[in-house]
Amino acid sequence: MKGIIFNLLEMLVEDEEGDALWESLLDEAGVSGVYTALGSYADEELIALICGLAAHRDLPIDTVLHWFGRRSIPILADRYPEFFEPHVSTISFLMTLNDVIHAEVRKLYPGAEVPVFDFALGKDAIDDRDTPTLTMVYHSHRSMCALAEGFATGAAEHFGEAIHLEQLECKKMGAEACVLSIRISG
Amino acid sequence: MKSIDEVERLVRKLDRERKARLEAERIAEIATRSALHDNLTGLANRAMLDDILKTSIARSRRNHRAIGILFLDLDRFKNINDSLGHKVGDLVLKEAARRITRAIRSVDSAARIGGDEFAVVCEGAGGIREIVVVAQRILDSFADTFICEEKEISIEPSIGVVLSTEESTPAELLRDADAAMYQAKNKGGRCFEIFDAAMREVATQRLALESSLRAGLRTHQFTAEFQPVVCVPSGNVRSFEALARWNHPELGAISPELFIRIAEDSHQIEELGEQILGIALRDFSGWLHRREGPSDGDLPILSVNFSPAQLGRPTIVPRTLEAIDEMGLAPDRVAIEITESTLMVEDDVVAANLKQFSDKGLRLDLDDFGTGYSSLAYLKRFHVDVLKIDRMFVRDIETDLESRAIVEAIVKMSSALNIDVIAEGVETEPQVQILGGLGCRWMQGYYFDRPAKLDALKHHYATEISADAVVCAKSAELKN
Repeated sequence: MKGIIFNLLEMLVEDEEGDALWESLLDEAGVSGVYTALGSYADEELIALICGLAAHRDLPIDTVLHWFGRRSIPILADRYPEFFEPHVSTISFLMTLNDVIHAEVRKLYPGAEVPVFDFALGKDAIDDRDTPTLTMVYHSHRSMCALAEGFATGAAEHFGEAIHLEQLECKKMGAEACVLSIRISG
Repeated sequence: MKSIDEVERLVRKLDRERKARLEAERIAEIATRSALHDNLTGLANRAMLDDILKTSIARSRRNHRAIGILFLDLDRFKNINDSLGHKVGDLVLKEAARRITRAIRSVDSAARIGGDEFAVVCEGAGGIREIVVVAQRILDSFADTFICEEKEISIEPSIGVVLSTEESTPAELLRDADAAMYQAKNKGGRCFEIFDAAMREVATQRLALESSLRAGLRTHQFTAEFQPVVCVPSGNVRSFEALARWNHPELGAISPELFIRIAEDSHQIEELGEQILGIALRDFSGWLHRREGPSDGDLPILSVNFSPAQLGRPTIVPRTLEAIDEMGLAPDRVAIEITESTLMVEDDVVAANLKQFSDKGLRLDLDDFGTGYSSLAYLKRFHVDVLKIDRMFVRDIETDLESRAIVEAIVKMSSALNIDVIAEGVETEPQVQILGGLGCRWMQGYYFDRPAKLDALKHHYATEISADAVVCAKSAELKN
């Protein structure tokens, strides 16, 4: 996993709970804490830090992952505005994940292993209106669908939209892949 | 005031940030190096070479001292790669890079341009003589063979040399050095050539010829001539070898050696081969229908040259059989003629195709025998019908006992393996006699006929082998 992810986590933890907690998480996880954005580090180190944070907050790991994804979006929007500015809606932004955003990520961070998404765009009839619905199938060996949910939630907040997000299937529950459904609700 | 814990945390954080910065610098350096250096040899790559050239030219203009460019190409590297595999090919390239680096001066820069091509930028040249010294030192460094995976490999470069002028640009220098290198190659390689303006013209002509060849294939400008392989002393024609000919509408007859090399270099050899096959089959079939003469059992066969590129195509067997059938010929009337190096290519498709041709009844003639790399194991592996002794052994057979001994050895070995032998390049009566005395019964060369259209060739070439020739050969055998 690229160092930029660890840098994001460090920024968020220190911002919300102080650098003492970050030091403590590093010690508990037994990691050096030396993460440069372009470097590559074991996935296990991030998982250990997330687990430590979950234990500290007394929350499920997936909840912490969701928080991480959601809170990362404002930082990413500030650092990489070119990914966000062309869009006015969450769905249109999310649909550029494979071909635009992750393509650029691989250029910026050579060797980055990014998830791949399949998309299906549909409409649900809600209150006599056709409401756009995006079905996202998440493919990654890391099984961090909760992080993907967090990113989607953060993106919706960035674009000022309320979304109804539901995980229809999960690999951790034996499904072939994780399937998310995102409907704009306001 | 900060507590001790806060100070300790701050120190640790600063230390982590310092280490992260160092690591970032290290990663950036690796990335830069990868972007500017050739991964295999560690030499500068093309991008960095361009940069070096720009800087060196600017410096040379300021100092009024020319720079020299050497353009190196490893002779027969493709043969090494094809016959010994890419792993050995890579080791050869690394060894070549090592030798070049050791041979050049500390002020000079070496780069790998790509494939088996290298360049050296020689700084501060007072004149061409200094550059020539570097070129010669590089040639000398390649004098020793290279042992790789228990094989002794000879690496020999062709080198083009050019000296810059006040107006030179990087692209012009490389282009001119390349033209000079090509000239060195034409002279047989393992040498250097200093660029002159005439070479630029040659390089331009070569490119034009490449383009003309493409057009020639499109508009069917190519034809075939045939040269007989004669059975001595009966005089019967065993086979006709089809030879590609190109009569360019404006330039006239183009040398087959030249246009075949250009076809190979520009990846047009497959298409050329296919056209020549079709023309040869058509001409031969027509000739057979027109001729009167011996029964089918004594009819000559047609031999057609196939390149490794053609034999590497999965469809070559069915397409060839279809073409033969269309002309009303039987497969055993056709021989596939290939060079030694084709058999040593580690290519399952080539091997499978050759086996299929053999299974279908086509013959396999092995051309230029004795000039390729070692290993006669392929004679066991492939069903070779004929070995064609290379003309270099026949040419010297009157005066050189070694050539005579080699020919005799090939004839004896072939006889023991039940393989026939054809001697190529037979031009004189003494050569015919000596070859006949050594037991070689089939011969091809200007002595019998130059390549021509089939209707212009004789049907019979009666030749006697004198009893003296046989006695002399036996006498030489006894002395040894």
